[in-house]
Amino acid sequence: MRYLAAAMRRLTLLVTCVFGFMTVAMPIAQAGMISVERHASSQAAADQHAQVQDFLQREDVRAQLMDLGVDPQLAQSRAAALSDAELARAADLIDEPAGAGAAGTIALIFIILLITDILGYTDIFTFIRK
Amino acid sequence: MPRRNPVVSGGEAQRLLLLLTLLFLLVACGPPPQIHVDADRPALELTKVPFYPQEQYQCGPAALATVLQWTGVRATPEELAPALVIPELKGSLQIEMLAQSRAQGRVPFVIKGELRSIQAELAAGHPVIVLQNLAFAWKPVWHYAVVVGVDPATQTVTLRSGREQRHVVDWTLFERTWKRADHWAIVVLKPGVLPASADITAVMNAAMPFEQSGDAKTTLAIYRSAAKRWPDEIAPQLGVANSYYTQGKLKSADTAYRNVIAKFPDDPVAYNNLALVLADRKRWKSAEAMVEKALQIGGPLREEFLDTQRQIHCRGKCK
Repeated sequence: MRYLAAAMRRLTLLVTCVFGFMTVAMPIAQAGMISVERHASSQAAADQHAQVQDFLQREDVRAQLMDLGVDPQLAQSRAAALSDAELARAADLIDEPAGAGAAGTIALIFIILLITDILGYTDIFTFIRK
Repeated sequence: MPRRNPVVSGGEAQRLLLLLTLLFLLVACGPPPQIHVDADRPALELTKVPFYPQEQYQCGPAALATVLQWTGVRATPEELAPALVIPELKGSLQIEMLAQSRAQGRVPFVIKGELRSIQAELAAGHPVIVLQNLAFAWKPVWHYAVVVGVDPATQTVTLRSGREQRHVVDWTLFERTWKRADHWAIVVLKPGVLPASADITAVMNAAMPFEQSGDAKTTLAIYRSAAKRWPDEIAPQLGVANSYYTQGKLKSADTAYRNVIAKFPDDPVAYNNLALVLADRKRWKSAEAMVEKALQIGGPLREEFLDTQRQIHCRGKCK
């Protein structure tokens, strides 16, 4: 019996130590701490928003949008409301050089259609969930 | 009716011949690969890098042991093999090379796949593990080796490779075999030592696995060095402060966050995290003021700041 009691005391001590350690190692606020990774991804999203806005302000892009019957001003304000994931898709494509040459023009049209698809003006790409 | 001869007809044979000729031309006259090299650098060779003659299918463990020894870890290929070699594949996976480096207390960095990056690393005294495909894309023979030298005068690369201590290859050939393995290259360094060639993103990515496994000592070393090299970037400095916090060093974390705020007053994250440190120290009023500042700046993490505010309002006892 005395042996059992001693064992119980040891166990209690162990459990107390373990729980004590856990309380020290896990401060109450752990959940709210913003990690470097989270910070970086939120910044990347902000950069992408800026990139898409710059893109929609380009003269050639505005002309294309108007040809499609889209008000460039409205396109801008709606692009601002896109989710980070939707925007990442568009911004990735804008990274591709869409400048001079036939390939550039096709890429440009593709990107515009993609963005207008996301915004719900056109319905070209089935993979975009409206 | 005579059976048609199954042998290829004249027209077909001609076409086949043409195809084979074209194929041969393609193989023989493929354009020389583009090599991004720093031709002005003097010849470099790290002659003191150890060498482990490789047993069968052990190029991964041999290469990793070579660079680990160089950084002061006593590890032999035989010790590393069980964790690295997959007998079915007769080799080792790249991610396991990274994981084992971490398990041995070293920090692996994937560097840019250009010969000039390798040169920069060698100049800093860092041997480079490369993956090569010694055969064809359709019948690969994968191989890990350690680059210890590059000589622009003779246009050669020197490797610890297989059973050869100094395997000297023409750099055009090296580039071909390396390219078939997507130019994969890593350096494995002591915590706190940074690769010479890597940009800040590569360094932050290297710190991530340590952060996720809660190894704050290693992340602290990486972020500290990164903060020194890139003083105008917020991420490493935030990393330093976060690492202190993970270690439970609230006072150091407090100071570090205040340094971040002094330098980057427009970024709300340090205010939010400092508010949580203050909450942990039961300085509720200051914590409230701090999270208020984060909310004033706002931005995409606003929801999280509001959470912090709730936590502080209920004094850490929210449901």
